[in-house]
Amino acid sequence: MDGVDQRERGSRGDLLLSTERKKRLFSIALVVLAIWPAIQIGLVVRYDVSAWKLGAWGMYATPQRLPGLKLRGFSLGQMVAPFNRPYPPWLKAEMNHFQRYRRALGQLYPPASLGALILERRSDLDAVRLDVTELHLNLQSAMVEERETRYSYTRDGP
Amino acid sequence: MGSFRVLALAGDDDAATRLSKIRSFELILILGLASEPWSLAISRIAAGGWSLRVTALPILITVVALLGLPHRRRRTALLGLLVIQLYRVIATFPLTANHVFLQLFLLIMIVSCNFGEEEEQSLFLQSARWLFVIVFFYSGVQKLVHGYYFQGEFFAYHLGRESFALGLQLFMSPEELQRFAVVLTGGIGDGPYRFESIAMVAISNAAYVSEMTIPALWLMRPTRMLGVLAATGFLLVTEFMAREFHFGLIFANGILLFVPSDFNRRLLIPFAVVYVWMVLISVNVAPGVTFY
Repeated sequence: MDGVDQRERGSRGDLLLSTERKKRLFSIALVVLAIWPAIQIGLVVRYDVSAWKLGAWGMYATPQRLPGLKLRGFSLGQMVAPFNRPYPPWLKAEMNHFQRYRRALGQLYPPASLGALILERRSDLDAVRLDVTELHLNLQSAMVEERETRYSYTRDGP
Repeated sequence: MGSFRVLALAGDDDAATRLSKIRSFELILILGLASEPWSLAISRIAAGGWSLRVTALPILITVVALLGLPHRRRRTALLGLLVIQLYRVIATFPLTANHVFLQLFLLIMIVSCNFGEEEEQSLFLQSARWLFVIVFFYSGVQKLVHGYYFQGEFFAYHLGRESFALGLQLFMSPEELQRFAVVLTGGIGDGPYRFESIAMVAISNAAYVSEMTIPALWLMRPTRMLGVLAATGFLLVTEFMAREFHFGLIFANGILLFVPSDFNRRLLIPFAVVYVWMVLISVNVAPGVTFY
């Protein structure tokens, strides 16, 4: 009788899955969920990805601020301002989009699409340079420091 | 089989109250799923920023949730809510808030289980408990690994936020409060952002120590209720400062899973009142205390 009960128990459940199989799948999923934050921590350390994002439960673990962005254009070797301030709405929207995604993904999100868009809108430019400035709280000194990463894009690519 | 034994570490409940507890958990989860998009939509409309996507989402969630009221359509409605939640994750990724992921994982668990089977009730209860153990534990690990809590650097840096200053002002000198909350603005060269006050350093370190130890209390039967009380206290303190009520309420719902009865059923109305209150905040009918 025990054998029959066991088979019946094995065939219960739904979604075409037995309870035993669901237990196995849930266990695997929980192991994956327990491993993922360790991988995300590696991404935070290596690529400056936000500890707050990507479902790794790092809210409030690090200070976070939106990065700054400086735009430079080049025409015939001369540095020019690609757009006068106030920036046009489409550029403001693109910059805001970049800043939010950059804060979440760190160096995994370079401003390539923004660079390409500026080159598309300003056909007279040969190249654009985008300087991304990010504020960090240095743990040794507890002082706020600025880190700048420079990205250059030409019509042929980065 | 080893993994099943690990699942069982989260403990099981008396069969008499287990299903009622799960159903109450499910209802509170659905209230949370609907409340946040309603708050967002109403505040956007009030600010003159109407958009079809933002307005349609809470309506869709509410309609789907109401469709599930007759018991026979419950699973279908939950599946609908799961699809909507998956859309929310995809549409907002990688900016997705962590509580949206948490809601998604819980919905997947609920939809996958047949609560007509006692064994699957236990499976859900144990898995959901483990999920909250993972979330709480890693919240602490993240703070420990990144190191902004050892000398209170994180709190010092964010003391300009009124709710943080209000909650922590008793534990530091007026000079320290003035320095971090007013004088320093977080600009380049500002600092040092660390506390002299021993009480503040202790509080700061207690944050991640609590998050890493409370889940261990949940996993042992004799200390489970102590863990519930400790987590409730911790949640009240952090919500007083961080005001992330959407996450906090999901978490409060999770903590109640560790109470060995269907005590959460008695809290259905209070949860509903708080969620409605949070929607009313968006139209300035209720006083605003949440920033999210």
